[in-house]
Amino acid sequence: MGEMKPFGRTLPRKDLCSLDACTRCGECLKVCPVQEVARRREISPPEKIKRYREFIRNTEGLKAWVLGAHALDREALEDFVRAIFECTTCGACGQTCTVGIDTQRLWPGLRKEMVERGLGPIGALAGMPEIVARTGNPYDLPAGVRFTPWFPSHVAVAERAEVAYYAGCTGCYEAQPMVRGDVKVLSAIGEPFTMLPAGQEVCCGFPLFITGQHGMLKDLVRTLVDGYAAKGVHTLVCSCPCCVNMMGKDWPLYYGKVLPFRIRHITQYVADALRSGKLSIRKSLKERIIYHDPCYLSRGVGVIREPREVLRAIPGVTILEFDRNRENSRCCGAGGAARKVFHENAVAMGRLTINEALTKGADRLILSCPACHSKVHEAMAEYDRKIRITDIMELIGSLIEEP
Amino acid sequence: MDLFLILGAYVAFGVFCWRVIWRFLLRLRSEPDFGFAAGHACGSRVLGILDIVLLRRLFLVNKGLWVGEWTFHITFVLVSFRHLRYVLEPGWGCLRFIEPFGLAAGYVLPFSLLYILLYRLVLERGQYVSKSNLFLTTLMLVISSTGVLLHGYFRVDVVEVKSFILTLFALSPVDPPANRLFLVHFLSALVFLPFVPSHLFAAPFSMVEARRRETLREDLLHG
Ligand code: SF4
Ligand code: SF4
Repeated sequence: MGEMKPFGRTLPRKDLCSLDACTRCGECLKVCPVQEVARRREISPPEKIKRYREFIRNTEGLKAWVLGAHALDREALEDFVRAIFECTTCGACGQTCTVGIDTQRLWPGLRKEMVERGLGPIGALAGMPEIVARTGNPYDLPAGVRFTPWFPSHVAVAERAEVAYYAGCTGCYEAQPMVRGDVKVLSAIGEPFTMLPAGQEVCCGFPLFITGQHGMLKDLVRTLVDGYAAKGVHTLVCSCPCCVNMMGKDWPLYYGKVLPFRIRHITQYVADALRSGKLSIRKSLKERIIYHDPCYLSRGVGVIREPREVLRAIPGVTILEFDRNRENSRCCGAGGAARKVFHENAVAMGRLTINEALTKGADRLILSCPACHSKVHEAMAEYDRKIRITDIMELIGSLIEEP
Repeated sequence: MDLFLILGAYVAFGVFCWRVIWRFLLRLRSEPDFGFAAGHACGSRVLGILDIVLLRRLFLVNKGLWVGEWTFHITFVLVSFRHLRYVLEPGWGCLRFIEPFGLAAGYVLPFSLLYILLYRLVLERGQYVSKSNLFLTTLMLVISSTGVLLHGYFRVDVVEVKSFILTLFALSPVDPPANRLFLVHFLSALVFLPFVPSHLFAAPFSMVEARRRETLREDLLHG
C-alpha cells in the first residue's frame, strides 16, 4: 500500500512545469557522475522524472479522477526515494539539459515532497534536524569546539565591522585547513572583520534544505541574519559554496525580505583585494596546479572567474584545467548530502577527480569547498594514487607574508 | 471501418483535449512558486525565445542530433500549419504564403525523422533511449511518409479530405475519402494525438526560464 495524497498539487508550479518539460532525450546521463560510477538507469534524471509523473497520474489522472486515486506501490515509492537521495544534486544534468530544467533545485524540491509524505530522508540524514537543533551543526559536535581547534591565535576579530566572516560547519569540523586559510587571508587583507560567537554561528540551513527537511530553516536564518545585522555588517564573506548558495538564494526567502547585507564568496573578496593592492602574493610556487570548480560555486552561483584570478596572482604557478571545467565541472562526489549515505559512490567519484588531475600532470589539486576537501581526502586515503590536495585559501594563506 | 474511424477520431481528440485541460488544471492547482525573485529584463526573454527557435541547448550538447531535431521541429511546424487548410474555412491568407514552404517541409520531414532514428539507434548505440520517444518517432515517420506518398503518388481528393474533416468538427461527419493510404495516414495521426508529448506544452517555458535563471545567477553574487 502506498500514498494516496495527490503528488502534483503540493509541488511548486515551476517544478511541475519542469517535470512536463523533460523530453527524455537522455543527454543528461552523459554527464551524471552517479551514472558514471553506479550505472543504474533508474536513478537517471529522465527515469526519476518519469516515475514522479506516474505518481501524479496515479493520484490525480483521469483514472484516479473517475475511480479514485489508487494506492501507489510501496516499492516504487521507496526506489524513487532512494534514487533522489542517491543524487549529489550537482546540477550537471541541469546544465546539460536540452530544455533547461533547473535540476539543482528540482531534486531538493522532490526530496522535500517525499519527506513531507514521511517517505524520506534516508539513513543518517533523518536525524539531522534534531542534531542541528541540539548542537547548531549537522555533525553532532559541540559548539565549543567550532572555532578553537583551528583559529589562528594571532588573528583579531572585531566586535563590530562592515565585513563578517561565516566559517560554516563543514569547514569548522571537517576541513579545518581551509577555514584556517580563510582567516589568515582575511587578516592579511587588513580590513577589520567580525564573526558571530561559536554558539551563535549555527548551521546556514543548507544540509536541511538539501535533504528536504525545511522545518527549522526560518529560525536558523533569522538567528544568523539578525546576528550579523546587529554587528553592522554590510558584507558577509564565506568560503563554503553550499552556504553561499543558501545565503544568496534561500536566505531572503526564509527571512521574508531582502538581506541587510550582501553575500560574497571568499574568492571574490580576495580577488578584489588583489586588484586594489590590499593583498599581494610574493612567494612563488613552481608547480602545476589544477583547479576543481565546486558544483554549487560554479553552477550554483556563477563564481568561476575569481578563483582563477586568485590563482593566477601566484608567481610561477601553472594552472591546468579539467576536461570538464567551469559550469560544466564534474562533481567530486561530496554534494547533496549523498556522501553520508552512498559513501561508495562518493569515494568512486572522488577518485575520478584524483585520476584526472594526475593524468593531466598536476602536482596539486586545488579545491574550494569544505565538502570536496573532506571527501576527496577520504577518497584518497586508501587509494594507491596520490596527489597533494589543498584548498585555495589554504594555499594563498601559506604563500602570503604573516602580518 | 468508416464508423470506427469516426469514433476513433472523437476519442483521440477527446483524450488529447483532456490531457491539455488536465495539465492546465494541475498547474493552476499547484503551489505558487516560493520566492520573490523578480522577473528579469525582456532581453533574457528574447534570448529565451531564440533558444526555443534554434534549440540552442541541444546544439551545445549534441550537434549531430541537433541537425536532425532542428530540421524535424521546423518542418513539423510548417507541415502542421499547412494542414490548417483542412480545418479552416475560409482559410487564412497567410497560409497561402507558407504553402510552398509547407510543401517542401513535408518532403524533408520523414528524412529528418529517419536521421534521428538512425542517429539514436546506430551512432549513439548504448546511450539512453526512451521507448516512448522511439514509438513516437516511428509513428511520425509513418505519418509523414504516407503524407508524402499521398501528395506525390497516391493522390487523394483534397476537397473530400477537407469536407470529411470539417464535418467531423461540425459533429455530422461524412464518409472519409476512399483511399487506403489516406486511411493509414489519418489513423496513424489519430494514434499520435493522445500521445502528443507533454514537453510541447512545458519545454518552451522551461527554456525561457533557464535564460532568466542564468542572468539572475550571474547577478546573484556579482551584482
Ligand atoms: S544532479 Fe548530478 S548526480 Fe544528480 S542526477 Fe543530476 S547529474 Fe546526476
Ligand atoms: S537532458 Fe533534460 S530533457 Fe533530456 S532527459 Fe535529461 S532532464 Fe530530460
